[in-house]
Amino acid sequence: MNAYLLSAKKVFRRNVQYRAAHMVNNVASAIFGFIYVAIWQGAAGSSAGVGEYDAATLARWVAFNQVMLWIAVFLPHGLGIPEAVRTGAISLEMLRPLDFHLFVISRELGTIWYNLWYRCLPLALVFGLVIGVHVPQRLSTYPLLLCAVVLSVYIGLCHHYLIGLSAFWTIQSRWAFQLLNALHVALSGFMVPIDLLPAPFDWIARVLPFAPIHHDPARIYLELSGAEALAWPLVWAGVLTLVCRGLTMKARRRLEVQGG
Amino acid sequence: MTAVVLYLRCVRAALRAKMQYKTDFVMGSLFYGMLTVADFVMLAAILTRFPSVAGWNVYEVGLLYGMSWIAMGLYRAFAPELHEFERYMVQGEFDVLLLRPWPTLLTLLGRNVDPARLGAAFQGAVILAISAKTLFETGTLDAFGVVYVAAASVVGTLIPLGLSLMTAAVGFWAVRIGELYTFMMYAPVTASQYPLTVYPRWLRALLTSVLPVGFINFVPVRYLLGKSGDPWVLWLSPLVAVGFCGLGYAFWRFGERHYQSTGS
Repeated sequence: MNAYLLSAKKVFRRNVQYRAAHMVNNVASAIFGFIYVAIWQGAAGSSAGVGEYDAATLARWVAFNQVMLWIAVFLPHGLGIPEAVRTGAISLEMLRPLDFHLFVISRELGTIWYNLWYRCLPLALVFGLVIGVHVPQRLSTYPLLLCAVVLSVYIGLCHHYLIGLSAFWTIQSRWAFQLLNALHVALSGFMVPIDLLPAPFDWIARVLPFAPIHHDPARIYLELSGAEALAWPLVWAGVLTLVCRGLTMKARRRLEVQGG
Repeated sequence: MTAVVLYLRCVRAALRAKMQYKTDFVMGSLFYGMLTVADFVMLAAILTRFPSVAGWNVYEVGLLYGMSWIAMGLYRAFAPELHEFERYMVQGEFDVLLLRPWPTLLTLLGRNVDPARLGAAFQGAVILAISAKTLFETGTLDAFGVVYVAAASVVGTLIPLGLSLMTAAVGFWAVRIGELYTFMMYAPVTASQYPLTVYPRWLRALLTSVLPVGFINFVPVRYLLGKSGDPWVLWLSPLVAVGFCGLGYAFWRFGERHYQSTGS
């Protein structure tokens, strides 16, 4: 266990070195958030809203998800695996007496922990000041939200891990990355709750593993759903774990050490 | 004139080089196109639930959206090296450009093209065409308007190009400019996909002055759709595009004179 924690700590410390540069990102991210909020207000401002979503709820929806992006989505391409495959460092990483899947993920947790304090917190403060904060009223929302966020981060990590593993078979793993990006934009509900999507897209989005990243945690946070919103995230976390571990075994056998 | 011939020859060579990797091109066009569609699904979702964004219906916003994507797609397709200008500063590659006996910008732009980015422009053109057709049939947009928006989308490319030249020029002093693009280009261009009237007054003022993305689409389209504005904005918009790009180039030349190589 210590080795995993240690790698996370090191990555955290490395990130802290660049905190000034990252603050610039935060301002940019906040600007994007405000653009999205302005669009929603332009659309929903005068009307009573649609279904459970009124203009204020949608503004908070966007703000919450803009914050979530930094812990569940904005992760390095393939969690650094493609780069390691390219340079050959992968052979050393796989040689370690550690579980590869767990090792890569825990290393990334260092970045995620950093992002939580140096990116999410400032962003949340800015959005809170301008848009207002939704403070969950029910006590039960807090543990549920924690679970939803953890599952969201884990599912995000698994996505990127799978892209990373694709580098074992193809040198074009960046197309997998682009594909994931496009699907994420359309089907995760980070700007538009998926139940508001036009006809076939709403159920496509429901059954794919993107909604658990944004849609479900946001519904729990805004208290539009209770524990039932954890069902899909739990299912997908389980499925993705199996897929990740299965493919890791295959990748391990596939690994060729190139000389030179 | 020789400069133009030379540039075209460079572009042809770059294109031939790019086409050696056909799968890359096909996949790239496909994915950039998909990303545009994904983006538009969100907008469509908003507009099927609410009749309008700040008084603009789905086809009217579609005009803005299509024009913005065409301008950005063309810029990304023909100026990939300018967009990656940080590399030239950080790694000292700019020195090589200075050795050529013609303008550095010409050499830079001629070095590479990214035809896959045309996928996004194409997708934008499809959305623009559908929107323009519907608005034409309902009589909101006349024939002149249809021709105007098509031409303005192409001329509009000069605005992202101008923004990029200014950002790159900052690189002559600041070297690291990757982050600056988010402020100078990504955020304003994203904002230009929607009617600027949804934004707070100060932001709208910014987007029609210092970062004039409003002139790609919003300012002329608002007049063409009979919402507000005067006929002279139809002249003003291309003039702003050309003028702004010229200003960007002037700033670039100014920066170039202050260039200090990083050495190797």
